[in-house]
Amino acid sequence: MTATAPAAGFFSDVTGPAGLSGARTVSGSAAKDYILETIGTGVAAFDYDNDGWQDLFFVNGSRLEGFPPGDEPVQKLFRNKGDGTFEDVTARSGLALHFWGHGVATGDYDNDGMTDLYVSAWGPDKLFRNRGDGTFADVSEAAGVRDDRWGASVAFADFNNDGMLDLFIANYVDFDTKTVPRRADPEHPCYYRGAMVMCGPTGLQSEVDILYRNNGDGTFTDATQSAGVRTDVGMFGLGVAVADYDEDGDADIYVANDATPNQLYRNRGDGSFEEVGAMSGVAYGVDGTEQGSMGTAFGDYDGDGRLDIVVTNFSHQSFQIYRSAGDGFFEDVTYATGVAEATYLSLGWATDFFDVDNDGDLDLFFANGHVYPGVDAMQIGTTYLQRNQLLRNDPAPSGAGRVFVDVGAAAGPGFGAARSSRGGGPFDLDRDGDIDLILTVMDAAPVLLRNDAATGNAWLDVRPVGRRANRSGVGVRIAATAAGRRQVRQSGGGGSFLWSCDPWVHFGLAGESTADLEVVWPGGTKQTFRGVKARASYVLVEGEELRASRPGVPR
Amino acid sequence: MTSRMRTRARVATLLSAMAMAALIASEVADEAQGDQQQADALYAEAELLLSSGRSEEAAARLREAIASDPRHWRSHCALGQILAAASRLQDAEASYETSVAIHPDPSCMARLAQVLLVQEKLERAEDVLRRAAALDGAAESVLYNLARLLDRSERFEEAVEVWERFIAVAADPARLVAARVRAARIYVLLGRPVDAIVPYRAALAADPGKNDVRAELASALMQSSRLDEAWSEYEILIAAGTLDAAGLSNAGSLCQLRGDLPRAVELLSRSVAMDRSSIPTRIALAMAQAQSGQDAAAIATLEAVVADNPEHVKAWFLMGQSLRKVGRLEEARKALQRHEQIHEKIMRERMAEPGGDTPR
Repeated sequence: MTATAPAAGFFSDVTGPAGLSGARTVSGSAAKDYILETIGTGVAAFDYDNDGWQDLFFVNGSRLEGFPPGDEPVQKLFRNKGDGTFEDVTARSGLALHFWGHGVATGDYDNDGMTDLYVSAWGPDKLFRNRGDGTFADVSEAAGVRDDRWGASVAFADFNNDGMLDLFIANYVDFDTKTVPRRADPEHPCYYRGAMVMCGPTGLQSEVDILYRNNGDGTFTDATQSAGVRTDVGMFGLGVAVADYDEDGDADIYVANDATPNQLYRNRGDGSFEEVGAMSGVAYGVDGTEQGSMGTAFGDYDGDGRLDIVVTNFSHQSFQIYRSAGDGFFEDVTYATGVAEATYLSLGWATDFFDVDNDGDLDLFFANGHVYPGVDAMQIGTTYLQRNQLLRNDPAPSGAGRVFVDVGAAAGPGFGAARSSRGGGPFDLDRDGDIDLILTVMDAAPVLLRNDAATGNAWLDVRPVGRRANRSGVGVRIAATAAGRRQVRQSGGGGSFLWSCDPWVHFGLAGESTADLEVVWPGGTKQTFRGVKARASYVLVEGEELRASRPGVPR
Repeated sequence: MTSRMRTRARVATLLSAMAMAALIASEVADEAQGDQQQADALYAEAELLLSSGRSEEAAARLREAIASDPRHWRSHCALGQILAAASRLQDAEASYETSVAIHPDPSCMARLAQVLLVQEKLERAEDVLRRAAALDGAAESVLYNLARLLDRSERFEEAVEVWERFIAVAADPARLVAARVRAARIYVLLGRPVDAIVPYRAALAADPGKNDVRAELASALMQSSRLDEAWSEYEILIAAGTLDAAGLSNAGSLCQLRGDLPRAVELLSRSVAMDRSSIPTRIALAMAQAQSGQDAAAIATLEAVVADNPEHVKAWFLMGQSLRKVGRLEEARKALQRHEQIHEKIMRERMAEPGGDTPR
């Protein structure tokens, strides 16, 4: 395959023209006196009305002092009109609700063909069932998922391969203004490098994560303990990604924890887990100390067919790349891939592997922004507002392995501006075959970055729909082979930070016109397809033939 | 006598008295001017004697000048200088005090302050210097001494502000370089490494051969996360061959962050060879060795670390990783278990601390 390098300036900020300026969200006070106000809010890209276009749901927060009646910020739903613009449909969606939300997961938990929403919150989490008529019903209470721990990232995945989506929620801090000191509280001051800052997470009570098992009747059971999720000591959970990293046919869970070791839950095959983070080499930073981890994602960056892991961290820690060695172990290749230097000063949140230039290898984006508004005065080389980063995957100059090169500064105004970004991820806004980005920004409107790279590279998308497997197609493994080069991708299952999207599987095919596909469904069903035409989107219903999926045509 | 005649007589008497008074005043003034002129002449003579090293004779002239004109502040001040040079500090202080009481001259006040400083009379010295600085904000010696005083009293925020004022007016190149270095060091001490960079660079521009200062600049650049600039300075220092173990350790860590792992191994090995006592450097070396595929070497480095410090949490972690990579799986498992035990204990202790620092 031949790869074409992307031109500089290929991401355009189309937030305003797309009609998303009104999607402004709130995350507490500008001073960020409490940790609650610092992690921001998330976003989901999902086709809620099955019209073939991915719509956007923005989680909204609040502030401790509250709002005058009628001024409360609410969750927001924007319908993709298919012409590059969005329509605010919040008022008629039933989602115009005020609560302090954070993360979001999308998935068809009741397998009725409509994608539902789970929103984590400070306060009770919410499960919104998609009624199929453009409205959502809050079924949290009835479904038994009304947990009131402070939740961050959330993932739908089928952990026991019964065809029903289960839930994993990364919970953060046991936060209560009665017990957590305010920033600059003279009796309980908290410091970062000598400067008074908001307290936490260290020194605060951590929360235990939750695993809900789907009972198949619209309800869930808290299976945290029986599934082997660690409950003896909580971590400060922020990010979660789900994938079958050891290729044994079941969904494993990786949790990015702030200021505590990250966890890798290996699925024993029956939906129960063994925590193997430390033994597998993915719990700590390169020197064996825990990091301030925020976001995470799985992806095969080096094209060896095995899923690697990326983790975003606090500033001066560098983000992490763990390369799968294939025997259940990972090697920390943060330095060797150039990611250490590129991200040393960044405080990262959302991240994902995605093929920005359709050249057949996975690049990286990082949404950055510090938690301390006063950090600029600390003289530590980092700033509150930070440029987001786009790292292009290149062959290492030595010829062995891959390196990531920060090309964000040349990636157009969409990447040039400094912001305090938080949640988000990659999706194809306009279904033109290149991947766009949506990112939330603290106390501001989100940023919609349209990929305008004119690489001419070919691509291929597959939208899996389960029959025996979960209908959402979460956890499907697809390998695309073109001109002898094999790419492996897995669909859905959390990832990034406070983010969720429909499980489209995207392949960049560079100069190739066809690819062979091998598909493995959760539960083991396998399918193969030869000579699949590039530059096209397909719907793959489990056990059926590939069907062309055209934008605007309901699947 | 008519009343008009009586009036004329009274006026004449009054006029005569006034004329007499004026005459006396004029004579007194002439005498005072004469005393001052005499004092000036004696002071000038004393200065000449002093310049030829005849300080005792100079002191005698100055005493004569003071006897002639007790308010001759220059003589008091110059006498203070002679007494101070003779280590008669209390006498010098008295002379200076008299001088500045008559006329608050900033340079004499600076000398008074110097004598007070030597006698550890810091409060009075500061008062004098602050008054002098208020009178003449560009008086080099005043600012120099005030900066030193504040520095000595560890009032670094104020000290560095006065050092900066001194730097702005200083003409003496040697003092200027010293002041810049001192200001830079205070900035580092205050956790303001970015502010240290300008004075360090200015000091090096005046004297590029000061490798100790360059090493400090490199360290400040590292602390400020200006890594490319830091590396440029370390390259100069490496070429000069003047880096000590700590400098080599910094340079090696920087190479590691920049992904130049072979160079990192080389520099960190040199640092460890110079000073084996730094466990962080040995850990950094093991990391660089492991990251560049030299796992056997990393294991050897780490075995030595845990021999010295059996509870070193990072060492057990890195050893577990390297043992696994070379296929010594059972030993790897044990090392990682040891890491987990130590780490769990550390984490539980940290989590039990209420509020407090945020060590991220």
